[in-house]
Amino acid sequence: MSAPDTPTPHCSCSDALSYVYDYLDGEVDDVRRADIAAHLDGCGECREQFTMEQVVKSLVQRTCCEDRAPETLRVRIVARISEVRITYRRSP
Amino acid sequence: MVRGNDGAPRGVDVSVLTKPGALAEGSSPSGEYAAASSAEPGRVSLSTMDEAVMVSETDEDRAARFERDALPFLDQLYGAALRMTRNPADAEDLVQETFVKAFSAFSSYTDGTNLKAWLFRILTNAFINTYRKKQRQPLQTGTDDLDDWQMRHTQAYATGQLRSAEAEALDRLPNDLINNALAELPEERRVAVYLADVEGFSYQEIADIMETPIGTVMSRLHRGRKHLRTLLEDYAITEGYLPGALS
Repeated sequence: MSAPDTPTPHCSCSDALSYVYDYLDGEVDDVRRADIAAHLDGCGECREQFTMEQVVKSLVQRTCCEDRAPETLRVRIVARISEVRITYRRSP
Repeated sequence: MVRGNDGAPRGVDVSVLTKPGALAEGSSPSGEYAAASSAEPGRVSLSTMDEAVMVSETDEDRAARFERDALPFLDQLYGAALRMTRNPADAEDLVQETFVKAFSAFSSYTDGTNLKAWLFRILTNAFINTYRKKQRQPLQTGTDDLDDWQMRHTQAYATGQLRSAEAEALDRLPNDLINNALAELPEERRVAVYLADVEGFSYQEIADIMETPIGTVMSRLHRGRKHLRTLLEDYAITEGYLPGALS
């Protein structure tokens, strides 16, 4: 990846920052993604902002991916589904 | 909405963001989740569904198909329910209600559509229509026209003051503090952020799940994340992870 030290003419800092979430969420098209990536290559200030936002996003992932349903819940749900099936079968 | 060119909607190009050595370890999702999310980036494999012809499906077949295809989302739905209700017992009830509703409606589930998004839509609906009414809790919307916290923190956000130190400090915050910060977000923002960041849903999928226009989703994400970042910065300062320069 090339890393020129001068900002590219493709997009300005305010352009890049206005798309920070769309970019991090994978919601920009390839052309804009390339523009923003090129801008970030040459702009440390924007790169830091993007990194900050990515850190916050990662923190949410890190914290929430620990959640595991209790095994008793799975058992309870399977039992409830069986009940629902039986109820359905009895009522025409 | 447009997905990443590799077909992975959560295709965050961290290589662009991360300078060599800076936050390289801490800024990526922890190992287990990262592996899971790259294998299944917010998109449900429907290959088994495609093959199923449901015209002549028996009751038993349908139950078996439901257990095989829908039940594996239990942990994910429970995690979301936990963020919605902020209470394990209520989360269990909500998830159970979701699965019962989903099973009852499973024969009308359209083959080939996104099962995961369908289940999350039922969950979100159950939360809004049943759980919250039962709790007699008003909807926490958060004002979408003016945000005091946003105004208050615009200055610090713009100056770029201590930003790399800040990123490292936030990255060191323990999970219980991040949980507290998430719990403080208004409900609709919290759910939008969760669906995007944890489940990797696209904006369009979140719009479908929350039954709201895509612009509203983007607004909730935008405000939710800025709010969250402000709360995390405050925690980082209060708990001594960051000097009080930004307060």
